[in-house]
Amino acid sequence: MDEAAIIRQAQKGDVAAYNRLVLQYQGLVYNVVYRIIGEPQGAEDMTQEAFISAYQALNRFRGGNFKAWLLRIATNACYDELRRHKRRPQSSLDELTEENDSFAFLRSPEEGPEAQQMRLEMMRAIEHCLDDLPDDQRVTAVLRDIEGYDYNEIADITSSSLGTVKSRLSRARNKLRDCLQGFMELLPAEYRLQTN
Amino acid sequence: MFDLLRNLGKSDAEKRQEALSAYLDNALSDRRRQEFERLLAADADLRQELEAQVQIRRQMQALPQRAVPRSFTLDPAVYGAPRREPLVQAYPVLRAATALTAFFFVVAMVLSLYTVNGASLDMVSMAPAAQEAAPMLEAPAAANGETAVEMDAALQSETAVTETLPSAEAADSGMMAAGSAPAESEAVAEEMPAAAPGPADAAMIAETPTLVPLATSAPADAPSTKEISPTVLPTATPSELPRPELEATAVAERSATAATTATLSPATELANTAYTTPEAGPTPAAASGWVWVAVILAALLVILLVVTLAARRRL
Repeated sequence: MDEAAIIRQAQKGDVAAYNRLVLQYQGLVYNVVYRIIGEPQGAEDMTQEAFISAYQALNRFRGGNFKAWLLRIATNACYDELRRHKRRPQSSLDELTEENDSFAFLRSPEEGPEAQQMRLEMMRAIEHCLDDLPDDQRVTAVLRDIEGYDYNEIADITSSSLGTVKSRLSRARNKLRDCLQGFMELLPAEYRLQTN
Repeated sequence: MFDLLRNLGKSDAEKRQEALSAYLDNALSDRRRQEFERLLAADADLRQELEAQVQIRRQMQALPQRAVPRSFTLDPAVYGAPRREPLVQAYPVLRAATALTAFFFVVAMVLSLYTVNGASLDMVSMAPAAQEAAPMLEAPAAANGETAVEMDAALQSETAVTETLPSAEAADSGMMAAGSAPAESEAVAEEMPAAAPGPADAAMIAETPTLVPLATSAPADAPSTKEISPTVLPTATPSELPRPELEATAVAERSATAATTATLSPATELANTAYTTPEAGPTPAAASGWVWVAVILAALLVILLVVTLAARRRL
């Protein structure tokens, strides 16, 4: 069954049909929310809230890109959460320790312990620098550079114009570069930025 | 349009950074891409900057996807059918109402501005008539040297009427007259040429320049003092009233002064202004006023269209 038919069924009140959509998109929504919120428990709560809100508002969906519509609801929920808490919690990557089994997926058997440590350091640095960005710039950078959405999709998801997306992305990248430069100086040469 | 406005406020460095970011995402048009590549070939710093951005993006893309900690499916026992969409959604209706209110407010503002301009045009158009009245003021004054005695008699009879009223009452009636004056101002203005005041009125005009339009509205047959309008009464305070013992020469002098002053009355000045600026004639000004109204309405429609399109895009 195609997505449009599933959505129509869900709009009639078929929760099982909606759950098929949830299963299809939950990984995507959770990861976007996690990058924006920066904290696993909060990301979990926000993801659940986003799926509930999307179901309740399903009759307002009039076709088009369901994924973008769903992500818009999710990012709006994130904005609300960030406003409530005023600032993001410190980087979740602090939890990336050897003892924490939930991060075992980050450990590659091919990598030696040193390379693994470098990768973790780099991730921590990126998370830290993302933390420092303003919310709208962080959302745009996450959607573009981590999740790989194109400008039109980002404009759709964030309810902004293409020009705004370009501008936010440019500023976010500029700040990320400035921030990461300081971190990367401490890393081996292959991780450093090629700047003067 | 909003992007264009936003770009106006950007520095060259910001524009360059934005172009670099868009180039990185292959989001530049062919023409701008070629331009940027020319810049890139000529600028080593820009190349390094691009390389740094490529590296950062590579690192960000290498961030691992997190595993979903649990299922986010909904429990059918808890969640029924999604909410029905209301027949009339409040938000679009309120938004449309706001837009319409703003539109009509601006239209009303424009029309009121135009109305004010129209009123001033009316004043300008009546000004030549006022200037025509000025010679009429002067002429009797010149003639008054010969007919001073007759005029003095008229003046005395008028004075007799005004002296019978207490000054406070006169002031009250003056205020009432002033209060009703705006409604009658147009009629007064129309009467100006016909109501060329006699020498006695001219003298009163000279003494009370602020009430010149009212004084000029007094009928030409001012000597028939029984019919004197109360509007002229406050101008004749006891200290200013001509005394019966005034000699004919004094009256003549005052009439001459009044004639001179009358030529400098606001209406006459306005007339002078109108004559010195012939391009401010009513017909071209009215036409240009309508053109402005049309232009502003067209601009408003364009703004509404842009806002509507932007709002639709955001939905």
